[in-house]
Amino acid sequence: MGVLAVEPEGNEPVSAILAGPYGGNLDLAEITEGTSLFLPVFKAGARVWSGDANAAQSDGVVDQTGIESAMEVLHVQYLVHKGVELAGPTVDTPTHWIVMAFADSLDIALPECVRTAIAWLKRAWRARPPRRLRPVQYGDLVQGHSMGRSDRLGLHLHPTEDDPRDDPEGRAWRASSAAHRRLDAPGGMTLTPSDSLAILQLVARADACATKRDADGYAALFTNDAVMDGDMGTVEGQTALRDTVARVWAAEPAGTLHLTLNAVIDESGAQPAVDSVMLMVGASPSPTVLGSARVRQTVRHTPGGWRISARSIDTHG
Amino acid sequence: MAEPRTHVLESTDASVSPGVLDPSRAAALTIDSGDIVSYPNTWTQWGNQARFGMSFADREPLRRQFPTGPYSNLGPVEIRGAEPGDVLESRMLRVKPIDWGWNSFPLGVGALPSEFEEP
Repeated sequence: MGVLAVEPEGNEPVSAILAGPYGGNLDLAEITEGTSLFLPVFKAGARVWSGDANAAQSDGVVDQTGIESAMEVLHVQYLVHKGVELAGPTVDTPTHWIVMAFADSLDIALPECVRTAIAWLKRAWRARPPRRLRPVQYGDLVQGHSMGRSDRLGLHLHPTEDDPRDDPEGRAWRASSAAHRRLDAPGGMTLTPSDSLAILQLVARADACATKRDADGYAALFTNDAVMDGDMGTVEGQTALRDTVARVWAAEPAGTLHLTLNAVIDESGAQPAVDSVMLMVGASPSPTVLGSARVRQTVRHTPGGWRISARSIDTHG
Repeated sequence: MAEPRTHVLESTDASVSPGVLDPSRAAALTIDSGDIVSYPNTWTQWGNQARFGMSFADREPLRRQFPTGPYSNLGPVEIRGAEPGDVLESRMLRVKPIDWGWNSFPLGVGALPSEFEEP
């Protein structure tokens, strides 16, 4: 299909010859049977339009038309993925991810498109536990091609592992995090300011829960497969972790404050980690430091936001 | 998710917006997320007036009848619950074009805008 669009913002009619983050005249040969197009929603109900049936076309239209036709069979399933961030049209084919960018000239569209692709790969990589990553060369991942018009560009991403439909974690998450297959990237990572803030809030919340003796709330801040190790031994999994902290806290004097101090995010590894000092302060008869520990917490981005995947407590360091 | 339902959206004067995506159009169809829409008879360009065997010259007057653009845009389909901040996935389940199509090269456009004397 040449045109597949949700309605962009505004109340004015929009020419279907144009394209943008809402979709439109994408003229992408890959939007055909067996593929999915993901578009950000701009209006309630999405209001999706289809048109410009092409029986065949190249990547773009060098003489301004493809094989213009009509459809005798066209079945489209529409699925809403709630609360997913997406910059613009993203196509999922059995072998590729395609991201698109739009600008007045190819010179502007190209760097925009590469930025979109990098942001997308970065999120994919961050969301993946490092033990499940496998190195691939970036040169194999990204291949650009012009869409034959001056105002659009598609980048085809070639991941090492294909069928995206095998992913038990769901398509919605993949839509935002893109090439969520086995990806690797050289060296560390750079967190956005909002990610950094979310991570610092996460570790602060964990101690707020500890002070309140809220073991359920505490465990909810961890990933399902989280590991905690320290004086209590090694505990694996959210449930075991909840039971263990409940027991440890019950043994502490009432009113003990758990304070995370001097939290610093370490971005040098495959996943971000937070190094901090934990102080436990007793409330009565007067504030007294009951103990201190060095804590390192590895965090992971999940569909529900940042979660702690490992917490290591060293009371002797 | 409930079993997806299949809805049929025929191309008619009411469901086709020539040239533009028209925000003033009421929903041609309202469906639930996961439902399938079958578009059984989509139109060719210029309000389904493009016909097999037409020459470029035959099509020229048609083109001028549709100053807002050639496409027979079908819709809009509204999906209950979709809001800004969400993502809409369109899964192309079945796509089969009719048995003919055309390509045309208007003068002055495309990658070689000045190398041909006739369209």
